[in-house]
Amino acid sequence: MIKELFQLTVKETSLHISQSAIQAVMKKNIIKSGCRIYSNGFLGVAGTLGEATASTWAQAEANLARRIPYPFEPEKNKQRIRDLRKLKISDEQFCKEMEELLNNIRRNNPDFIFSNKIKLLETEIKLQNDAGLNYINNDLTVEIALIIKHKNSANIFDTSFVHSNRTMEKEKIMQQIGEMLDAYNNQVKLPEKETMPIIIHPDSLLSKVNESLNAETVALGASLFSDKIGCKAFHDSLSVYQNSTEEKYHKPFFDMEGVVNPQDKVMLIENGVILKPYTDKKRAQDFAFEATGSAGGGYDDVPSLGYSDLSILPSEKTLQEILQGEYGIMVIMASGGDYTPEGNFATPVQMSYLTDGKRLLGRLPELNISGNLYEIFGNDFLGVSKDKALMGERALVVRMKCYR
Amino acid sequence: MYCFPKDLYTDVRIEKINRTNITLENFELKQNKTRTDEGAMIRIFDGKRWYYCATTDLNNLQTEIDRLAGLASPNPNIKRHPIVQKLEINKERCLKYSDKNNIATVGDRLKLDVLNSYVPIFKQCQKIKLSRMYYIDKYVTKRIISSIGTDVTFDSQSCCLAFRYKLQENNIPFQGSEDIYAITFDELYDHQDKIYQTLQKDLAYCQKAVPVVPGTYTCLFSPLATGVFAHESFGHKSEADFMVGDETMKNEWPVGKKVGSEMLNIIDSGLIEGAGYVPFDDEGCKAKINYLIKDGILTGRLHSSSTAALLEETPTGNARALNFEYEPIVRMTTTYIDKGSQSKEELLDGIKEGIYIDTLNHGSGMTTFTIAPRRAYMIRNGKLAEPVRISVITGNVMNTLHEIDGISNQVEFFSFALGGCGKMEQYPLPVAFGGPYIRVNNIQVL
Repeated sequence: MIKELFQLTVKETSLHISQSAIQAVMKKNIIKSGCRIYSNGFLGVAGTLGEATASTWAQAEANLARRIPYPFEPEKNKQRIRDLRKLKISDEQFCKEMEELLNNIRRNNPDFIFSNKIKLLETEIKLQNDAGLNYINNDLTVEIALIIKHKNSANIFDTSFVHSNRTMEKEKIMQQIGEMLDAYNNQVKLPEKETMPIIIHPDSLLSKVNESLNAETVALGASLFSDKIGCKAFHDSLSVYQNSTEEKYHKPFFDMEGVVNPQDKVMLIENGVILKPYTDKKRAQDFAFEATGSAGGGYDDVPSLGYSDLSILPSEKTLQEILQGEYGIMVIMASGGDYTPEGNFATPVQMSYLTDGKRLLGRLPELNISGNLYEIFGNDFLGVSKDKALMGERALVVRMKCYR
Repeated sequence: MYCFPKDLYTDVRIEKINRTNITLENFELKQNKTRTDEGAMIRIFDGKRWYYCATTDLNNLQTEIDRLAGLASPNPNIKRHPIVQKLEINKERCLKYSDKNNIATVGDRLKLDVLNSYVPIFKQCQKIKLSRMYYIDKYVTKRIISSIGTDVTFDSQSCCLAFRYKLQENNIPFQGSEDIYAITFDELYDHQDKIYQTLQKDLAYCQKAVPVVPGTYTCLFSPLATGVFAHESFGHKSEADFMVGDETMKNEWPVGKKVGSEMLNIIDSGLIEGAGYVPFDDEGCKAKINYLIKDGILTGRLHSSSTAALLEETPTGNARALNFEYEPIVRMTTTYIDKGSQSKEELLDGIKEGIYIDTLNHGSGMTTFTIAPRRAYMIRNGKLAEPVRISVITGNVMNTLHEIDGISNQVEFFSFALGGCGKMEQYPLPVAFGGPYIRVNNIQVL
C-alpha cells in the first residue's frame, strides 16, 4: 500500500476594478488536498479543503472498497522542486503599486472606462508519496485582465488588455495599453481581400488539434487523426508540443500521475508529421502508445487522460518578418467560434486591429474569419512569432478568409 | 453569533456542499467520490471599498472578520450608504430538500446502479467509439448573516446523469450528448427511451450531414436553442454591472425603450426549480420574477445591491457567486423567452429556405451573440430537410431581437448536468434556460 498526497495551494490578492477605480480588495488562501491510497491494483481517493487529516486518509483507504481499478505503479524515488517565483513583494506593496498603475492608466486614457481585476497569484502544487516521490512546483505571477470600454460606446465592452508575468512591468504595460487605445481611436476599413494573415492566440485554433491528438480517440477511431499517425498532414514548419516548461504559468512540470517528460516537453507533431497522440498511463498501456504524461483531473480525482497543454514551436522570425510587408489582422476578441466535426473553423471577431507587425494601425470593424484545419495548419500556416507581439504572448499567424 | 465591527457593513456567507461524482469511462468505473466542502466568504464595506476574504477555517471566522475590518475605515454613516440601504433584510429558513428527498442520504450503491441502468443502451450501439457516463449530485446549504440583521438559511439540490459519446461516420467524428437533470433521485429512473431516441437522431444526423452553405438565413430555434439564445443575446446585456458609471449605456438602454418585436417577452427568475433555482441570492436578497423585456419593451435589468444603488433601481436577487471562494456579482438564474401563440408547424410553414437549430455545443454573447449548433437541418418549403454541419451562427443582439417574427405556444425549461455560465473568472455557474420555438430572420450562418 502506497500513500500519496496531491495538494494545491492558491494564495491570491486581487483588486476588483469598477469605473476605472479599485472597488474591492480580496484575499484568498485556499488549500485543496487529495489523498490517494494505492493497493492491489486499486486506487482509493478522498479530498478535502484544507490540510489532509487522519480522517481524509482513512476515507481514502475506505474508498478502496469502491474498487476503482488502477493497475499502475505510482512514481517512486524521484525528487524535484521547481520554484519559478521571482517577484518579492508584500500584499500591501502590490496593492499600492497597482493602484498607482491604475491611476496612471486612467489619467493617460481619460476616454476609456476600465474594469475587472488585477491579481497577485501564487500557487504551490505538490505530489508526494511514501515511496520517495517529492515533486513541488511554485509559481507567482501578476495577472492583469482589464476590460475596456470607450465612454461614447453603447457596447458592454469594446476591447481588453490581458497580461501575465512573473515580474512587474508597469512601464511596458502603460506603453502597450497606450498604443492599443491610440489604435482603437483610429477606425479603419477591412481591406478588400479574400484572405489575410490572421494574428491570433494559438489556443483559439489548437482546440481541434488537441481533441484529435487524444490517444483514446485516436486508437478507437474517433479522431480526425486516427489514420494519420506517422503521416505528414501539415506544413513543414509546424511543430506542436505538449508544454510543461517554465514558459507556462502555474503549470506543474509533472502530470497528475507524476510523469515528467525530458526538458518538460514532448513533441507530438514535428515538421508537419503527426508523431504520436498524448497519453496517460492507462492509454499508453492499453493502446501501446508512448507515455507522454498527459494525465489530468481534479485534486481528488482518479487521474485520467485530460487535455494536453499544447504549444506551437516558434519560428526564428518576428511578427513583422512573418508578415513580410503585408498587413495582418490582430485578433483581440473572437468569442463563440468553433470547428465543425470535419474541421471547418469559423468565428466572429468582435475586436481586432490592423497591423504591419510593428505597430497597431487602427481598429477594424467586427468581421468573420474562417478556414479548414488542414489549410490553417497546412499551406496557410505562416508561423509563430519569436517575439511576444500579441499581448505579451507569441503570435500564431495563419492565412484565413475574412469577411464582414 | 458574530461580533460585527462597529461602523462597517459586514456579511458572512457560509456554504456546505455535499457532492457525489461517479464516472464510467467506456463502461468501466473511473471515479466514485463523495465529498463535503465547507467554506465561507466574508465581506466588509466601509462606504468606499469592499474587503473580501474566502476561507475554509470556519472555526475562526470571528478572527477573519476582525482582521478584514482592520483594512477598512470605520464609517459612522455606513447604514445610510445607498448600497447598504438597498440590501434587503430577510430572516428566513427555506430548507426544501433537507428531509426525505435529500440526495445526500441516498447510498452510493443506488447512485452507481442508476447510472449502470443506462449502460445497455450505449453498449448495444456499435457505432459508439467511446463513451463517458456521469452521475453527479450536489446538495448545498447556505447561511447568510449580516450586520444589518439579515439571517437566511436555504438549500438547493440537483442530481443528474450525463452521457457523452463519440460516433464516427464517413471518417468524421461526432460528439453526442444527453443529460437527465433532476431534483430528486427517483426522477432519474426510466429515461431509456429518451436516451435511445437521442442516440438514433445523432446516428441519422452524422450519416447524412453535409457542410452548410454559409450565408444569411431565417432560422427556427428549438426550445433549447431559444433558451440559450435568450441567455446569450439579451441576458448578459441585462446584467447591470456592465452599465454602472456609464452614461452612454444608460442613455442607450433606458427602461421603456423598444428593443425587440412586440411579441417578445424575456424573463429571469430564481424561483423556478432547476439549475437556476436561487431562492435568495448571495447577498440574502429574495428571488423575484424579473421581466427584462415585456412586449418588446425594455422593462428591467438584473441587479446586485451595488448596481441597484448606483442605477437607482431595485435589487432583483441576482447577486450570485460561483461558490464561497468568490464574491457575488450580477448573474442570471433561469432566463427564458415566454410563450407566443403559434404552433411549431405554423412557424415552419413560413420558411421557404432556412435552418432549424435543434441542439448546440455552446453559446456566447455580449454585443454579438453566437451559438455553435450540434445538430441542425435545412428547412425547405416549410419542411425539415437534410442535416447540415455548421461552425457557428451569429448576429448582433440588438438587431436580432427585432428579427423574431414567430413564437410557439409552449415553453420548455432546460438545465445542464455539466458546464454552466461563465462571466470573467466565475465559471461554470449553474443557470437554467427556457423558451418555445422561435423563428428569427437574418441570422448569419458560418
